[in-house]
Amino acid sequence: MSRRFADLHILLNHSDNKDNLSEIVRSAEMLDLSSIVIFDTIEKTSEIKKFNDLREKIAKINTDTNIYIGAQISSNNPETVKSLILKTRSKVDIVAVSGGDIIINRLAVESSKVDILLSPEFSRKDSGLDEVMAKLAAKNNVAIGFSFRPVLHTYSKIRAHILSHMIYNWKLVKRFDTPFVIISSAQDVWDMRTGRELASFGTIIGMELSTALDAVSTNCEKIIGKIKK
Amino acid sequence: MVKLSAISPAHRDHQRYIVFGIISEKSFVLGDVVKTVWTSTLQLFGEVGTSEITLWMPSTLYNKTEKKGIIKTDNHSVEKIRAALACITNIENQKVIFKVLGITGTINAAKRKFLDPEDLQEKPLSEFSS
Repeated sequence: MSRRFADLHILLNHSDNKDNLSEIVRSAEMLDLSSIVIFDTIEKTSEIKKFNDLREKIAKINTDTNIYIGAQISSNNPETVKSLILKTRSKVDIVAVSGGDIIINRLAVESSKVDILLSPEFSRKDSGLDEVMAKLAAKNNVAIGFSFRPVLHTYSKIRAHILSHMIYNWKLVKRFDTPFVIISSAQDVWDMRTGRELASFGTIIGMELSTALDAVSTNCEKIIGKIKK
Repeated sequence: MVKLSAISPAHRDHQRYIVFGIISEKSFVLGDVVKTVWTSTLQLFGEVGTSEITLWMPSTLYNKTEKKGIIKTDNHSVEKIRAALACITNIENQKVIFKVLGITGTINAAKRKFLDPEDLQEKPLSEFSS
């Protein structure tokens, strides 16, 4: 049976009061993605309403691709993040926290209500993840998201640093059996890639090919399975 | 001219043919595609890493109108080339996505499954550069 690939993180891009939702869905069909999760960022509690609008828009789209809604919590204030995790959980299918700040990374892996911690190494001089956090993520079933986009849009020294941090994070994830996914984190249709290409990216950060393929198929299905329950 | 003696078939690498398609608004000449693939591979793996990769794009197996082509490589380099293709964002300032359509073990299988032989450009190499 052939694998069904999924991309669990595509960020909706709002420009000129329009979003690129229909283009994302068309591109997902072209790239043979069976499921996608469309994320919108949330920084304040007052923005929660926009997920209802997004769900209505998605319901109108006629496609064979399974589309789910996700909230990307982007805030540097731990109290705000805690409150947003609780409030968005019932409104969206997948809750993800933008990584980068060490306190936020720790907070995300401590909460069983979070599905994905996105790029814990983002804008950091270290990998943003340690053994304690990797164990906590495994205990609370929080998947570590390895984003392709930061690698796609950087070159030379910065790309080397990002890859080095991802390789370190992968070693931790592997050692403590932490859930993980490979995601495109696309903000534009041109950042989207096929599931198989994302798996190739997994192999360059040290994953075995079969593990990398699981990261874009089986592991994603497990997270999607939680939504259906 | 003295030729190198051929490696026995048992010691040769197993060849693979990566058939790719380019998703973009316009089509590109082969020269630009080759340059972009090499640049991406060099950026991702460096000069030493790229030296370990077999990478060859036969000029006669590129279809400009359908935006499809073939990369000849070996079984150890397939994943690296896939990753390098995934890292390509643009060709000549036009946004692109490289999509691998399939991988075959023989050139005939690649042509039969993924390319229409009549559309392939049977032109001298000089015509492929811009």
